[in-house]
Amino acid sequence: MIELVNLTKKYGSFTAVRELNLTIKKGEVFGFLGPNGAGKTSTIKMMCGLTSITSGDALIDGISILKDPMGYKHRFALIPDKPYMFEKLRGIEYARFTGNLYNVPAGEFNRRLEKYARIFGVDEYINDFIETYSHGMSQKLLIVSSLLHAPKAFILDEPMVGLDPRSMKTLRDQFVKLAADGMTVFMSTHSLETAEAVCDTVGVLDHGRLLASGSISAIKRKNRSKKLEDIFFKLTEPETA
Amino acid sequence: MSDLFWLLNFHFTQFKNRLTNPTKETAVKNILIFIFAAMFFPIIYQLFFYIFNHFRSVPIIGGLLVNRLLYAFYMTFSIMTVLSAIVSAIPVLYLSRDMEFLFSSPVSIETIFTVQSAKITMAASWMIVLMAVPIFAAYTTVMKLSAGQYIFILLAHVPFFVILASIGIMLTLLLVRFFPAENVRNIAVAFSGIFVVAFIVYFRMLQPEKLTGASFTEVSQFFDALRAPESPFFPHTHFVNLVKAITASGVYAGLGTFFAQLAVAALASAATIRLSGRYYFEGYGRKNIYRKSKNRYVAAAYKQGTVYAAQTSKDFKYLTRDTSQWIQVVFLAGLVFIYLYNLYKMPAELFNLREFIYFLNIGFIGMVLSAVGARFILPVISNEGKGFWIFKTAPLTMRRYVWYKFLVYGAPVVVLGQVVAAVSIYILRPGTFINIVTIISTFVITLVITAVGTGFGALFANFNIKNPEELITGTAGLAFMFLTFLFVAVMLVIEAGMVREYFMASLVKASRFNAAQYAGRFCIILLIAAAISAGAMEAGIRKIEKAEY
Repeated sequence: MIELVNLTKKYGSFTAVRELNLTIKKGEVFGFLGPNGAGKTSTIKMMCGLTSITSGDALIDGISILKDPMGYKHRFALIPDKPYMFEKLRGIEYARFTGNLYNVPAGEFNRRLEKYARIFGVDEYINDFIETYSHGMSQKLLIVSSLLHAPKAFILDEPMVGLDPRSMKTLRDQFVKLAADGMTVFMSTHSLETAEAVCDTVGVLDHGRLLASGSISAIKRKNRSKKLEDIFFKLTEPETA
Repeated sequence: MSDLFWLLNFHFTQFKNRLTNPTKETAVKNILIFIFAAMFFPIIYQLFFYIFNHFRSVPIIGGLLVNRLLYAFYMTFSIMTVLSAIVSAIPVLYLSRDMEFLFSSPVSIETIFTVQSAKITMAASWMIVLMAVPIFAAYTTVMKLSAGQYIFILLAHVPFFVILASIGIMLTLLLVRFFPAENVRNIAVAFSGIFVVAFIVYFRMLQPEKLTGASFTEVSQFFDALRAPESPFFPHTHFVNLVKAITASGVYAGLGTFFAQLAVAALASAATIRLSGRYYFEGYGRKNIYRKSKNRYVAAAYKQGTVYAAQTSKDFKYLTRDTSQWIQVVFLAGLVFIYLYNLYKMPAELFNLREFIYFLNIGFIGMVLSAVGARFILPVISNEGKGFWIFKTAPLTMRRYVWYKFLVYGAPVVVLGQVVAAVSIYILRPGTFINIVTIISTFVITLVITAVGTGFGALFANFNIKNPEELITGTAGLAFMFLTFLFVAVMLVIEAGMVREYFMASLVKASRFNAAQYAGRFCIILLIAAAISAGAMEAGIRKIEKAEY
């Protein structure tokens, strides 16, 4: 379970994220929606320890990032919007490196790598240097490597960008399977279609404020609209003087 | 023509924006570079004044020796410029983010290429051109030339470097047809580094200091060893011939060769642009084509290991695979070799002072190891690049991460320090006391260098650098060198008194060496070392813990 409690991020006098409160249940796929500059990436960075939290807290399985950062970090995996890795390593070497970083036992490592490399088609190029990969290939290797330590929460920032349609479908299917196995998925996306197809619940963020959250059907009911796209535009419409 | 002006304006606007809106760090860096250049010019002038004067003073063949030296230097500069043009051409022609925008604009490939070629020529030659200013100022003084002759020689560099850069660009166009652009660049960087180190080591081993009072045979041997290849096909031959003509008979004597060089430079540029029409766009499309491995994944040879083992394995692979990193090791090997060779070839008259020289040797070892630390340890955290997020999100505290770097990178530096100290002992053979002082002092110096290198590496971490040189030559490198040199100087000052008392006690029986006092003073050194090391490490750890990624 992921909990964000009054999570706030300020850069000087500018508030990027304002007292964000969210609870995402175990086994739920959550879609984090919002226009550019809404504060989605700042939220993810705070959740993953990439930037400091101005106030509030983030918890996974009840473990606080502030009180027990190492215990917290063992429980999640991040896929950032730009899949920067160590380019002079081969894909397989990067996977081994990640396995050791999270202290994954050999049996589990081999079993998971075999499984996910096959599912995402990474096995075809895993022996090549990462510097030779396209954006999509890097993204898929990163996804496979991040699943090796069986994280409780999977945090993804725009995971579909750069993926081909087949890989997008594979990833969507995997979200559903992973969630069914008890993993909590937190995914920021610009694609409302992806959100509708995959997510159990969504949250709409704009100017650092959470404007709506809950199941897609509940949000539609509350806003008296059948299309998530219309609700999104209505909620995030710029104010006119 | 309007396309050309549009493109020039595009680049000029970017340049102007960088110049007028510098970041705080860029502004500091520019000021430091200016100060460094202001110090660099007189040093280069003095060095070359000494060299030219030294060679010129050799009876009968002094003038010939100076010419031979010019041939040797300009042959080296030629090779460096060609390699440097290849190194610069890859990012400018193939990897720059501007290129996709430029290719999609309604401007011909030849026009884009012409402007990019001008950028490459400037990038490949500006450093050598700047060096030529003090070198030929020294040459002008020694050879008693006029200001007009000096300016004309500087002007003659323009066609010389245009020809060389054109050769480099043409080679790049052809190489990228067959190999990935990044690989071509790495090979050129490696060749440049190895070539520079080999040239410096070779020149040092010629022992130019022996020319003072040397016999005619020795001078002849030196003269032969210095002989650089001369051929009408080599641009440096014509350039040095031009310098010789201007030196001997004035500016007018060099005009013919100068205009001929200008014509060749224009022809070379035209040939390069012609070649670009044929190969550039094709090469641009192939820039990232690598040979794929045929092996599909079978079963991973994975062993559950520690975080440290994972990092060590990754760092070692990077050190051997990343040209910008392993080339540093080549530079360091050259530096250490030259230092030990200098000790080995120390003039006999200085050998009587070997106890004193050996004491100073501690300081020199400190300086050599500082240079090692600046290149080998300081950039290790920044070398993680944009992949640093992997450590930030992993269950690994930044404290453990920085200490790991201290241990893994400190170990080889400590070993290197002890090897240099041991070889120095073997060469100089001083007394037991000095041996012990040097071995312990070297150990303390290496620990301080490692701690300051790692700590400052974290404190000034920049994950956007493309080359370790950016960090080494920036604020981080200067701060590191300043602090480590200061520590070595303070240590020598404290030890000097102790060493003096020891020698006095061994020479004059009435004088007594107080071992307890020595131990007390050494404790002060240890306290200073601990304070500097702990301060640097703590500052680095705190900074990187709070760093926003």
